[in-house]
Amino acid sequence: MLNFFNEILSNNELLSSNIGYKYLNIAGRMIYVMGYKDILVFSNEIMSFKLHGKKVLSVKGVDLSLKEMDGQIAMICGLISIVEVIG
Amino acid sequence: MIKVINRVKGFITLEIEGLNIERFLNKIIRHKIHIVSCKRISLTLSEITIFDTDKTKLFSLLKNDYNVSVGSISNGNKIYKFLFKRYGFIIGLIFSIVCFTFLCGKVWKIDIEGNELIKSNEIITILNNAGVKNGSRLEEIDTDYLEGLLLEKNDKISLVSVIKIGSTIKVNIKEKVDDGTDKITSIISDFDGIINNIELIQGTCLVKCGDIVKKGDILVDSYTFDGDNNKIQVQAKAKIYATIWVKGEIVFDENETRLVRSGRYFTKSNLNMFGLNMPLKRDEEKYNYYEIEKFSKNICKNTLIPFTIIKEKIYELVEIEDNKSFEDEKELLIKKSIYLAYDKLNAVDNLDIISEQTDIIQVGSKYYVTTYVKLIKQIGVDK
Repeated sequence: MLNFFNEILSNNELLSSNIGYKYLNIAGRMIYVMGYKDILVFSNEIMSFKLHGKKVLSVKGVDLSLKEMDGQIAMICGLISIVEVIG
Repeated sequence: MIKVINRVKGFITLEIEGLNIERFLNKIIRHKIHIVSCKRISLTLSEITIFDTDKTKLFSLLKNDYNVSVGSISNGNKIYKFLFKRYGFIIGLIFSIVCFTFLCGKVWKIDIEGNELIKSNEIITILNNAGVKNGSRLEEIDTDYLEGLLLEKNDKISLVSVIKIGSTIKVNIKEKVDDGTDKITSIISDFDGIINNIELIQGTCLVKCGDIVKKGDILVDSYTFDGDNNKIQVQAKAKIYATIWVKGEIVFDENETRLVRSGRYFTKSNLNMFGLNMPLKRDEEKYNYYEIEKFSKNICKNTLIPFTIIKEKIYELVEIEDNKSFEDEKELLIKKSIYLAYDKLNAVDNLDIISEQTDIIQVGSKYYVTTYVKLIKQIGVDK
């Protein structure tokens, strides 16, 4: 999958590409997450990912499902209402 | 690239029943199994789609913790299974393609058309000697060379074309038309004159010394009589000499008018496409006498765009009177008339000239310079 995060970060001197987690919310219909460690919660209403640095990314919504998931990236589809990083 | 191949191979959808699906997902991610999609149906049941190639790896991870049932297999997988699991089919297909490609590059038929008098075997022999036979490589065959070779080796061929159609060599022949050169001919007079001498070799002579003959008269006919007085056809052969006259005439006008360009002109430009003319520039002027120069130029050098600009320059001509003296040109005119007279003989050497006379007649401003040459010449042509 195209890693466009590195493209964005390559133009920003303050941030390096190894800053940890990254996510992108596309119109509340899709969340693109990068740099997660584990899945903590997986259901149709909430999905939580354990991030580096004892943080948790939580996605809440309706009819959530996973698309194109491997060890580095995950794409969550559905009607997304809340995205929050706790920790 | 691997992912693309995996997609071609297809996906498999599995229904996994068990508790703590999160732990299972983390486990399969750590084993580098790519999840195409995953959805939780109920608390204990989840639907997961993975690449078909990861199926065995996934089953080894499940052990007895989860119940798995196969939901569906995508079309890509079926095509993959159909094609790539049938090695015999694949080998046969590849072998067929290789054979087809190999055989297409060879000559398998030599087709000869348009021959009536010439036997096909003669042509095939010439081609075989040139290395063109069944099984020869098509790439190595030079059709232009073969055309030249056939024309050279067989005199009866007038035109020939050799073309490659698929794995066939097609030879189209146009045979020479029998022009009658082998037929028996008579001797016909090619000049007007009086017969001086006849040396008959073969045939029947229809004229005698002193006879006046005209151009086209039969001098020796193509028959004779044998000992039993039977008429038989023979080739007419004879040497016939006659006194002939040839004339060369030239007309000179002292008040000759010439047309020369006045310097005025106008141009017309047309844009031409497939023979259709579209006028671009048209400056109309009316001249009594004019001369046209035409130029055409393609808009695009490689004729990719089929437009041609045709430019016409129309020059005005005016009449100019040349007042020349006949006496100044006389010598030259006489030489010219003599040249014209001898030019009609079609021969220069070994002419037995009896007399040469030049007459000059004046009619108004015009002078007629005529040269008559009287000579003895062998006449008669086979016809």
